[in-house]
Amino acid sequence: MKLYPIHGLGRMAIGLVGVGLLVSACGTSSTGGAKSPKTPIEIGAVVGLTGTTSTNGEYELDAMQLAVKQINAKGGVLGRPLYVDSVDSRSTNEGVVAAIDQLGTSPVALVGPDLSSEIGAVESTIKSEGMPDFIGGTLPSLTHEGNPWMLRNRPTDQYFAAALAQLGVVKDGVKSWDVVHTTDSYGTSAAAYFEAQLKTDGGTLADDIGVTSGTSDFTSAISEIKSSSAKGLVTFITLATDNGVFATQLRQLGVTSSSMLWIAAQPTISAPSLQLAGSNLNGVYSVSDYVATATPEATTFAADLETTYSLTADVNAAFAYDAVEIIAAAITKAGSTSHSAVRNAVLALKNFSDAQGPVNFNQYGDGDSTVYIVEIENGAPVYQTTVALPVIPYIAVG
Amino acid sequence: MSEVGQLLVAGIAIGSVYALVALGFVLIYRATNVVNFAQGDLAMLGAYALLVTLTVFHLPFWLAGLVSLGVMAVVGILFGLGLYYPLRNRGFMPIIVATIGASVLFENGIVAGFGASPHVVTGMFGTGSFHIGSVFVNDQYALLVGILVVVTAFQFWFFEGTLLGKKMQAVSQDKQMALLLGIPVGLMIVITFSYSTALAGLAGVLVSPVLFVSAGLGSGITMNAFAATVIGGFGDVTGAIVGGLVLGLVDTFGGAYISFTYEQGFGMAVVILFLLFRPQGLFGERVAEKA
Repeated sequence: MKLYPIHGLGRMAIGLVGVGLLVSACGTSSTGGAKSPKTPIEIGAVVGLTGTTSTNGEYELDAMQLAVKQINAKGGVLGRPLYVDSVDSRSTNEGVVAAIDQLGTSPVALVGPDLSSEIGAVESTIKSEGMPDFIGGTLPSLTHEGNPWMLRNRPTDQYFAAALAQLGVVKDGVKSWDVVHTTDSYGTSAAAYFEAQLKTDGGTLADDIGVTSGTSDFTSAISEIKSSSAKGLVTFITLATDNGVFATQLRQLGVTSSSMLWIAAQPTISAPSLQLAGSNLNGVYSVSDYVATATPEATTFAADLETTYSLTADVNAAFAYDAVEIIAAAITKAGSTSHSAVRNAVLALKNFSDAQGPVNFNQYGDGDSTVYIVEIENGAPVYQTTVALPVIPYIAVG
Repeated sequence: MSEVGQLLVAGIAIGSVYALVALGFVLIYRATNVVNFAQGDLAMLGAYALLVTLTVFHLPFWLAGLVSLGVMAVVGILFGLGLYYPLRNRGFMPIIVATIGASVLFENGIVAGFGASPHVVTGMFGTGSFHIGSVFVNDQYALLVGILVVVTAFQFWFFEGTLLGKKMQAVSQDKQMALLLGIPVGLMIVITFSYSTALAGLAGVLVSPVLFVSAGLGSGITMNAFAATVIGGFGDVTGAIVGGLVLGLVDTFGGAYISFTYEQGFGMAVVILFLLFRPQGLFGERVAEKA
């Protein structure tokens, strides 16, 4: 192949291109690099937009976009607009790893993933990248493994378990319980914490039934429930479709609100779950870290999400919305977008009001211990009370 | 006794779903020697076709179901022509990989078009049910089992009693000979794809009022339907139906009397046992190869 010599203008063009590449390669560091005052601040979002948890991902992403819109309408943060850079995790561990890799270290902070099993898959990557990550998983150990970058604006399963037991055992006096839980990281851990709390509060476990996510038929499990001696049922079922099928079949096979006290963990009252289960969840109690009518901030968030995205606010949307709000507040407090400054500012936030309730971060990165009790009436969660819980020291269970 | 009856009803109902999808597996395999790993997702597409006809065109369930079957038959033709036909001379592996790719494409395409949220559709009889003694029977499941019986009878008549059916059988048994006899092999294969896809769509239509319409509906069905064909005998139509029912009953009774946590594993354990000790399945023929 013959090579042609490059003269004059050609050499200049190559030189300009090279200089341009050199300049654009600068300023991609997350902590430094010259950014103009108006450079948008990137918030990374790892959400399941396809796959088994895609219903959650849609709500989370839209809620984050709502928060960004509202913050930018007030002038942004440090005079700079925010934007969300989202990557689909495909609701798989491999997808989450790929998503984190794709986002790199340019975001000021990350939001997601929201499943405990997925978070475990990327924990070491987050630690090595040194970037604040607001996680939605409630597995208590996630913030107690020596990773300072894991931040959580949701109560842990310890708090939910304490609230569940307080409602069912202490308040309603039901002593014997069946537990149905998905066999994923969340379901197994949450059930273990509840069962430990049950012992503490004087209750007994009649049956522990593990279900695989995506189960098509729960007849066998419901047969076990009907034949057990338990008067109470607690469920930790992750997916909306599973919650819908389980609730429908439970009622069809004769287990009613009057025959058994059913308290469902918070995934059951996500908006997709409520839509699928319909009236079959009426009379069911639940614990949640978000209820639209619990506080004025919660009500405002619900109204804004409905108006802007025609979505019903739920726990997943509230978590993601609040995460963006907290990130914005932390950047303002720190006066900087450096990862360590933002993290330190988050931990310094006290009584920060948001849709889920006031947050106060501890040294482990856990910020929320507010749990609400709701009863489902006409297919919607109705606020009953806020559970006043003391600070619960972390213990490993199961 | 009522518990056994309830489990029997549940096992037969869910097994019927597997059987309908497995039938499609078998028909395509017999015609092309290829396993279509997108079969479950074709059921999912059938469910979404039903959703559109119910919610956009406001058709009654029975008419919406028939229209959805028609749509799926056309989808099957396009599927056969677009995926199988270009790869038909490249061996089985590229086609299998292409069906897996199609499965991913269908799921993501549905999410892109309809969003991720599952949808509720009302069945043929609303939320009706009846009891046989103390055993609860969901009307929709009863319809599903009834239609499986009808499909089985139709299939028997079609393949044994019509010229078109016999031509399709001839193609599945020996393509070269069928070609020599003047049977349009390509056309028979396209018709097979169309019919199998319609069968998968029928499963999706019938099960969607119970399991909801969602992009993930098919993935749960595919592996179980595949397992049903292994149990019944790969390539055997009767085997696909019996295999589906056996799988549904094994899963349900295993879940109730051993452990619900491992319910989905019992059927797979049975599959492994069959592969070890009776690889031809219940109704398949053992084929020996000469050294």
